[in-house]
Amino acid sequence: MTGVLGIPATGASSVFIPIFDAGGVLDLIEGSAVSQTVMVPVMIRAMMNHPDYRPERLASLEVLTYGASPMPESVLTRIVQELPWVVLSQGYGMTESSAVLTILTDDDHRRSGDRQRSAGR
Amino acid sequence: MKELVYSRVFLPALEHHADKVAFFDRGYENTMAGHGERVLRLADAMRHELGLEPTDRFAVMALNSHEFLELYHAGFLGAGIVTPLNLRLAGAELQHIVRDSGARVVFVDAMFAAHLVDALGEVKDELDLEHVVLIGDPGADVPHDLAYEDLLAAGRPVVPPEPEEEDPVVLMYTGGTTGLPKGVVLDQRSEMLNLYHAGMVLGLPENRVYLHQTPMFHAPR
Repeated sequence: MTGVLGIPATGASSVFIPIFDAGGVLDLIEGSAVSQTVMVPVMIRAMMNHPDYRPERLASLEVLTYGASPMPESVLTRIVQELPWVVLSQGYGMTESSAVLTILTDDDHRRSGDRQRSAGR
Repeated sequence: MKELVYSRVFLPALEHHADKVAFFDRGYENTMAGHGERVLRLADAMRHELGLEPTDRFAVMALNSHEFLELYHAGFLGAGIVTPLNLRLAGAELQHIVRDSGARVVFVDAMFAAHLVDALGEVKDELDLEHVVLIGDPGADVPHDLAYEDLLAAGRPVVPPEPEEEDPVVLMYTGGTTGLPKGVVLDQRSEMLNLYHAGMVLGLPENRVYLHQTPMFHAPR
């Protein structure tokens, strides 16, 4: 509920796209200086493979949360290499836990070993 | 207890950041105060125009929009229990959820109105459904009996009675591989604790700009 509840409750800003579209998301992140969003791995891959993708278009992005399905290692490697300023967080949970149970933090992502491939800490 | 309820953080934020333009939805822009007024009008109209009690369920089937956010916020202020509908559901699943939840009102946008109203029409005698409110363009040629903006205009911007921590606020249906979706009841306290936990890890600074791009019916994010 970070986006629905937390953002407005701190006076932070909300930007909407009716439905995911890789080019539209790139335009909005750049044009509206988006600093936080949540994506599932397939959306991240589509965005990074879009012909208009250039890392600098995501310069405003501070926090990227992903989850809901396994993250391919190749996509994670690209994010870490091409978007080094982005704080990565992976959320794992279920509806019954409303909904995040455990978060793999940015530090966890940047440690050596298998930690990057963990679901949650 | 009324400590871990959304109104305790939301209402002060509306006041503290009143003039900040904080909502951007294609051509639509609004300030925190403007957003708050719309949410209060909506909550009041849901109570007095639609006759919803705080324990009644209302369903929402829509693409991401500021209206969807307003509906969540009205629910969290106590207007009713929000039941988001997955946009990929087939007719039989929609029928099941609206029947099982006992939803008295559905809010739907032009993209899904025909699909939803057709599906529900087949079982209308089994439902508690009284109103279909159309989000967005009231001129859209889709079935509905009320337009969202007309509903909003009929409400007064007053703060509803504050919910309790134990009050259910979301009835989220979770798709199973073993049968029909099951309704999960989430209360104010569980939502607020989850919010604080996420905030402890990710921070919630006021200068953030958040993009809603995953579907808002799946609000746990």
